[in-house]
Amino acid sequence: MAKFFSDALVVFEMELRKLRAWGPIYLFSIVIVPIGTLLFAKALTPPGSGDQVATRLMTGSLVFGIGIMTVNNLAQLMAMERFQHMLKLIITSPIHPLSYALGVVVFAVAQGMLTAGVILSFAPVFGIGIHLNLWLIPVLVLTSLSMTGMGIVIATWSPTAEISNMLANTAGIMLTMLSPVYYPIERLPHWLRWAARMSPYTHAGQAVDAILSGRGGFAQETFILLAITAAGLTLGIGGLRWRER
Amino acid sequence: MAAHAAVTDLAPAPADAALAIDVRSLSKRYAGGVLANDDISLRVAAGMTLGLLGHNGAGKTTLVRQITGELQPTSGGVHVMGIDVVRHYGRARKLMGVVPQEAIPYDHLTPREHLAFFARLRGLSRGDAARRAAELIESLGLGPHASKLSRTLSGGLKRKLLVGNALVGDPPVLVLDEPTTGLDPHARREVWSLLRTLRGRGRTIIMTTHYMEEAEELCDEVALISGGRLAVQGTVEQLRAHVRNRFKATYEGADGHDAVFGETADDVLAELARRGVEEFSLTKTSLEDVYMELTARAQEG
Repeated sequence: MAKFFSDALVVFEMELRKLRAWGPIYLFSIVIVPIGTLLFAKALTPPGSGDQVATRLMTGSLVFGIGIMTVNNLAQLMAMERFQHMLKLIITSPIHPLSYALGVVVFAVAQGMLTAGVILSFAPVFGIGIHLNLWLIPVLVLTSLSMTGMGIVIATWSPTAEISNMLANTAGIMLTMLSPVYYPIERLPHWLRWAARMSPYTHAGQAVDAILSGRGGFAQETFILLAITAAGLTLGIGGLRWRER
Repeated sequence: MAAHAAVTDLAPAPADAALAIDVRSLSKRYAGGVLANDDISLRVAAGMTLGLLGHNGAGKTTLVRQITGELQPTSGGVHVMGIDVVRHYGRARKLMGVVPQEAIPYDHLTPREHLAFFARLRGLSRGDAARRAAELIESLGLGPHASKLSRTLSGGLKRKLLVGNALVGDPPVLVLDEPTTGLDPHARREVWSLLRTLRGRGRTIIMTTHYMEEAEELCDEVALISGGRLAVQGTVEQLRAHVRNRFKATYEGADGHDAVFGETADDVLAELARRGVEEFSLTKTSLEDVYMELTARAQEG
């Protein structure tokens, strides 16, 4: 068991070295997308819309930023290692496939958390009043983790690196756009609400909004998010292809 | 089929010798019906270096990937140090250091970091991994490049790094798929020297190569793969005995470099006398000559 976690730590440390090599580019991509969408959403909001709307914009940017960053980065990282054949070095080493998966998922989640930290730090800059609460951390981690299963499946089963990137982008954007992260679910047409309820980002949005606005009552949404995350990760790990048949 | 019969004729592994690699009736049929390997059986005694030869697409890499367990066979089995690779992949991987053919190093890591990280995956502590990395950097002549990012290294240096990567855990069996491809002659000899040292320490090595000189220099035995089948396995001397022309003489003729082949040295000398050649170099046929004749024969069926 100790080797399982120490191997995952080695994989995480290997990935972390990327920040040294390409740190500024990573930071730019981590920051620019969510901050850009926050600016965009704020520009479309009529002045004097109130704190509730401002908090919702912050929620939307958080969930969107974390979701896109985690799924895209994870799928791209795994696809690159697979198609450039670096993964062969791991596969032929005595490491459990799940140790590798854990290492890269933790790296992707760490990037998601970095994105969250940057976005939250912009709240005072944009004059958005938010309530910070320790529960925000596990909820944001779950938000980040919730779609990693899909990222693993995309990277593992795509026939080429290009297809993997395209699918990861499409999945991330589609899920975020179909999920009511920038607005309450009641604003969606009835026929779309059932689909939105299947998306982890919908529940992440509800939970994060409840925390940031100080309303509380986020336990149920968090529990649903946890259940979807567990199911997604189970599917992702089940779909992880290691040896070729 | 005749060629298969020759396998047992040429290379009967001694019954009492410990087998490091035991490949039995291995076949691989890919989805779509392509038969990449067909009923290959070969045995590598512990401490032996076996070279796998064959033209591009002959099935060498498929065989190597099946031996390392990366590719599951359609039928047949592989045992490494007595461990069933198909059923106990996790245990088997601990016994093997591998240089995959297409792999490249993690390009955002330096060679020192690369070797140390993979040493840790082999169970070494941080300190031991750093020491092992330093040893390998020294023995592979990577010192001047140890702290550069791998993406800035030449193709040959990357290949050397991968060879080092296969050695980090000091495994008893090394599976090297074209380990010296892309290396300049000097670097190739450095790798040869390292492999000779490992062989001297009793490591079992199976390697593919397109360099006949390399196979002749390093391998105790060679196995010739053709059309996904094992055509022949044996020492270079045994393979040479298997071909018609065992001797050759080279000389400068009126039209440039020329050669005479013969079954015996006397046959060659007689032919040279008939041609009126007085200055020549008489040798046994090279492995390349043997390879050319045997592959041609195997392809004819």
